[in-house]
Amino acid sequence: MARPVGPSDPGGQRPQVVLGAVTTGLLNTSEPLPLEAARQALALLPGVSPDWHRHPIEQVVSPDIFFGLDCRLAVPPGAGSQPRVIGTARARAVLTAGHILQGSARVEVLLDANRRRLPWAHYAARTGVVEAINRADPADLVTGFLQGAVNSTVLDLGKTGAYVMSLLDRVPQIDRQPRLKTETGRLLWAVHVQDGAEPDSLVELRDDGMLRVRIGTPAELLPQFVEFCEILALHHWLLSALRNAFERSNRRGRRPEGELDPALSYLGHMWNPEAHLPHEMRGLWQRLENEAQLTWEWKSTVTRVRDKVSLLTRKAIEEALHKEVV
Amino acid sequence: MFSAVPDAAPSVFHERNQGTTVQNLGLSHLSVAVGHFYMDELENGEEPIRTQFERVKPWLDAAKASAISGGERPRVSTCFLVDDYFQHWPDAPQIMEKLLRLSREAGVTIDYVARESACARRLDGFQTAELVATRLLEEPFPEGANGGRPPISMSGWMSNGKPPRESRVLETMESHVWEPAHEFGERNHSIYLDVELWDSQGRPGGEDDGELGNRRYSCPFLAAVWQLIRLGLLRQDGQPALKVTDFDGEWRTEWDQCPDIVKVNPSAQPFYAYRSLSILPRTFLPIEHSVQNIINHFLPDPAVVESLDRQAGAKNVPLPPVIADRLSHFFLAGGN
Repeated sequence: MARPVGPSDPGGQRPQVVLGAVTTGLLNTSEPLPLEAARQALALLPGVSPDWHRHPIEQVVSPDIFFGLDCRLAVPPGAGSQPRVIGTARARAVLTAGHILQGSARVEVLLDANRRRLPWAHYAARTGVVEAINRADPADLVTGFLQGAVNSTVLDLGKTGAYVMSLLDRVPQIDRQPRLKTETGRLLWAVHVQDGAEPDSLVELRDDGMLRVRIGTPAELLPQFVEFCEILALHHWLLSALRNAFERSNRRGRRPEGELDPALSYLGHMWNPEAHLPHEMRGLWQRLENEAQLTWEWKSTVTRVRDKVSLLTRKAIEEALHKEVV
Repeated sequence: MFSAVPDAAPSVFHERNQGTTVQNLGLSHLSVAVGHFYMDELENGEEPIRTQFERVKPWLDAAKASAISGGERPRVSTCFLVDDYFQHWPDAPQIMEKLLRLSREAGVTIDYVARESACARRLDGFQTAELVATRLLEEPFPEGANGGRPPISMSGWMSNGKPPRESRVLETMESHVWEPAHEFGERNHSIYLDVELWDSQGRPGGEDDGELGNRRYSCPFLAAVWQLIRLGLLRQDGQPALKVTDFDGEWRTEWDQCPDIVKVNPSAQPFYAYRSLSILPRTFLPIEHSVQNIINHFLPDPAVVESLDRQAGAKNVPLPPVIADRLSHFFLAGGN
């Protein structure tokens, strides 16, 4: 449901690299937002209404908002100096089922552009694009960005996405009383734009819990790829949130139903990776499923949660009956 | 991988609820603002008004002859912005009669009349100015913005660089450190500009209605809104933020009862245009410099930009990507 990503540069230059981050979390509220409220909440700019879907799972996508950038891009060790980039990043909020909020930020990188910072009007006319004023190798930018090591001088799109998510905190319907504890999901992605080349991709999960997606693809498929990453981030977050709730319920001294009830009612119905998956990305998702088997893992985790709830219920009934007999 | 679509049959279910669809506008090639007066100048004698229109006339003719139209027959419309924001009396019919008569006598046809107040707030209460205020992006410090900086200026000022700085470093040394101002996009030397966008003195003539309603917008800010309106770049749900109303033959006494933009010449070309020319007294030069600074930090809705680009492209009308490049000015000499 991406807004069209038009030709980025009116001068005809095409970005060689596109970098992005998707941050995923539970909306800071006890109950999901109804569709109508969600559409109001995600109207982040006056005068533009968000895009939305009702079926098969409600989803609202905010208009893009833009962030000014003048910073460095990370490169791998030994790859020389970090190029300086100037321009704007775009970011949007995506709310799924009124309850799962994502901040999705990205920036298109033009290499071999101008050698100095130009008047700001130049960058304001090329929204969502940064221009590197030093030479850089596209492959180094992809690798450097996916390392995910950020400091105050290199691009931090995760922070951009988190800022967009925080804009929802001031919506009146949001009561800041979620009943489920979850961790923020982080995904970084990087595209090496290769027109006419065979697309290839790699999804990687490291022990820092952050997903990394690397792909070489023609520019035409960028909007679809962004949606793929948002869907992957959402479902990876769902899986982690449910598994963590299950593990917490097994800990000593906890009321298991205090963890399992909200987990089931918040998350149980959410799994549907193909709901809004663009047609062009179905093959990639299928390959990912064949290897990582995310859907199998989800089903088995839901089964464990439900089994446990059943056992707890039976135990409670038996205890009640026992009391009556005594 | 991407071609491996498992099912090539066309889809049967289609749900596309695009929030906003941008409307294609009827567009002139050039919108010419034919002069400007402060309200007190309009209230007083006729002679200065007549003189200004007479001075506008040859430049308006030149503009019509030189409009960039990509080979089409040039479409040029004229407009006049009435300064009713900072002060106004209930005398719209008299002022409008005088204005239209004197311009006509000087050979300057005014096609559209707009109210400056509408650039802040529409007749129906919609906050037009907010469409610009929320799309202004502060210029990032050199190597000082890596993605988390809130995008909107809340300070009420917009600069093109870093202000000069004077500070006492060590009390005992009693020495001063002074750093000059710096324009971020300078070419060799800086022209630093910092423009006040609004203050909180309260909306002229308005009751207190919250933080936004309490803003009193500056003249350059409203003039920037006016330029963006003329260029078709300001939209509400894809429609022009200020709409044109046909003249119904009668001016309301109160300015704030008059429509936002009135078409006073029935045979006029479209109000909105690819480019704008503003013919103004020389004293407006600093205001228009400030307008350019504001517009340089305005990020238009990409869908609106695309719609205008498509329309221009279809007719081979050259349309510069930088918005400020679509603006031009002629400043009339001062004095009598």
